[in-house]
Amino acid sequence: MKFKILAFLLTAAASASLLAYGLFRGEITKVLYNGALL
Amino acid sequence: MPFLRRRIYQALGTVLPNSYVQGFLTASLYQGPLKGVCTPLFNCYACPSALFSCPIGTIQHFAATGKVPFYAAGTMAVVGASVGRMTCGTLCPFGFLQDILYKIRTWKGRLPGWASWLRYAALAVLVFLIPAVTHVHWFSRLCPMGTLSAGLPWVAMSGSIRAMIGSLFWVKIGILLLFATSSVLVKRPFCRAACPLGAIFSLFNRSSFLQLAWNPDTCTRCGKCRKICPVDIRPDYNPTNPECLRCWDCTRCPSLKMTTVLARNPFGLPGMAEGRGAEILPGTSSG
Repeated sequence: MKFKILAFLLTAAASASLLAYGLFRGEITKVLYNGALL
Repeated sequence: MPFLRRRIYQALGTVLPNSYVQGFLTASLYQGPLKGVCTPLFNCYACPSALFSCPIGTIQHFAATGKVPFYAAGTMAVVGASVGRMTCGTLCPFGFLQDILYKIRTWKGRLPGWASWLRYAALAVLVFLIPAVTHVHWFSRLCPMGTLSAGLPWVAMSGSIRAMIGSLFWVKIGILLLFATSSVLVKRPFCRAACPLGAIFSLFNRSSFLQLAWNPDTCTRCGKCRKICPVDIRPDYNPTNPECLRCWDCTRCPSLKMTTVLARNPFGLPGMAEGRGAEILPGTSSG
């Protein structure tokens, strides 16, 4: 049980960090640019 | 989650991200700020009615340009860490289509177990490796959802696009027909054997916040959960199976329940979940 909670907390923290770093780098604009290429 | 409610969510997952109707009327693509948002389901960039962006298309774009897709991967990871593969089971439009096609009454078969490894191969090879080497978005070029929601509408709407039809278009049509016809015979063939988005979300089923709990004390191992499961698995054997779409159809059985990773006793009694049975309850025999 504790292992499951720990696994979830680690996954959630890593996921949120990844997303925050992507947003910090302004990747939304790059995604928009990719859409505009089509 | 009641079955009808899931169908409503699937219909909303199909209609809402594709509600830019002007795209069809004016033969154009929406290019507003929402297009920068990755949805946790297939929402093809090139579909005239698409409001959002496809995460797989975005990841390929970054792979093709030699960059790491932190934002797209982070969005997928946050959704996966929260609900596992639930968006596949409750929102994805292509999953919805496959569920409907499977309703057609005819001979039914089962996919072999090894087929589920193919979606990881599709993720590694078609989404990361080949785009990184060739700088071309090969999964998007072959994606049956892209053919259905973007390729076919554009061919119908635009004479100049029709003039550009080549052999690749017929390969795409062939792939779409292959998955459409196989969906009549087996449950969700694309999700299980080819979907790279499903492959990403599969990795989170074990550690996601939402979990499926199984009660070994009330389960009679009747196998009805497998019958109603849209991917043919036995949730009683492994509630954290990476194949599980978290559609919650099996929770119609009282021995299976939607729960969270924080719930210690999802069925209300100590020890009645996670494979632990009556043997640890005080006053019961170990059988």
